[in-house]
Amino acid sequence: MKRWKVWLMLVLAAGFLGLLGFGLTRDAQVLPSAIIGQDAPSFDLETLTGDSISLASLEGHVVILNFWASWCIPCREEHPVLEMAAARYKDHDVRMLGVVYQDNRTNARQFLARNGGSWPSVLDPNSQVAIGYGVYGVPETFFLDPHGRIVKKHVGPVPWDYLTTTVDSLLVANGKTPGGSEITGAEAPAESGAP
Amino acid sequence: MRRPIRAPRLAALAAAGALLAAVGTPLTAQAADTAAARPDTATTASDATAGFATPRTAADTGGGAGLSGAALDAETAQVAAQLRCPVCRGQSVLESTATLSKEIQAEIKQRLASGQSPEAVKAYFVSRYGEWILLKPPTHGFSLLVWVLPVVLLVGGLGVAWLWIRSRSGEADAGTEGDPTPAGGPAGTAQAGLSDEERSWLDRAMRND
Repeated sequence: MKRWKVWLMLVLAAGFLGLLGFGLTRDAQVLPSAIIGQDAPSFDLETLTGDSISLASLEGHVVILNFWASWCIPCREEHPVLEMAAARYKDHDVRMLGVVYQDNRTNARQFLARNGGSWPSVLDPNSQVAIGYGVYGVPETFFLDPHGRIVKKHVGPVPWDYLTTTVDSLLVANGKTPGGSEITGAEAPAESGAP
Repeated sequence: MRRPIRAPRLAALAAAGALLAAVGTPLTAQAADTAAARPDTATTASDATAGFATPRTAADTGGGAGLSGAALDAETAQVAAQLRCPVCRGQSVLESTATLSKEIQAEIKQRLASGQSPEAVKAYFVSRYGEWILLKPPTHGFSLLVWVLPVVLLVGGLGVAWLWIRSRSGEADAGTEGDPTPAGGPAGTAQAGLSDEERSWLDRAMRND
């Protein structure tokens, strides 16, 4: 008589526990993105120095596409990681490109003058490119393979380990030399300062 | 003596199942409709992707084909009301005052002005932000659960409550019917099921002795 009640309770409890487990094991930082695995939306934008860069011109390289802004505090935390990445992949088939999000040229240039950064950044008026990439806020970093496909996306300051693992595996997967293989000596101090 | 109760209980389960099936059918049908309409939206989504390569040119050349003036504003507002503001909590792009929402509105307007249908514009944003961007979850795929589950839980809950009530009244009935004492016993039908001792105690209690 009571057996069905017991089973019902068990099934309900298992269901709720399952949902709870599903919710707790998910990373709250990971936001849904429909764009992973798709071809990166192309663009041709003006850099902070007045030149222009198209995404198509970077084809054949692994691309680290970083959306940032001078007003964004987490971007300041993230900046040293990007600088270390620029040093690590200086002689590799990797190109880094910043996209300035909801910001102006003057402020963005001041940020770079103060914090350093040798890679180019482009201006994105009206955030059309950011919307095209489904950006929620800054910083957000996209990793593109040499064919221009979006392989990964990271929301928030990108951790050093995440960045190097992703880029190195993309380099290896495309028959290229991973970072750190021949410049270990120069890189050792930088890596010890990783957050 | 409780075995006979099982039949109505089974009937109740069957009724609940039938009700569920009835509720589920229109939704499933709708899902099939949406699925059928999908190749169309898929095409428009890829159109949108192709158009993105040269957004400004698309707006410049497509101006004649799309809406303009008040009609464009109204259509823009309608699409914006259905999209979730990516940097807010539970607000639509239309309600939100966030910069990104304003920029998304501008993007919607530009796409509508260039001749894209509202469905194509929504499909573009879904292709970038995922179905999450739609304030109203779609009625197909995994999101269908959002629509069906509340109905299932409500009907299921009512079913369980009904079963519980049935089993309680069933137990009472069984208690009465199952008593070996004949209904037309010495003390009459009203007090059937009581022993002589209990009956006399009840009589005394009623008389307030």
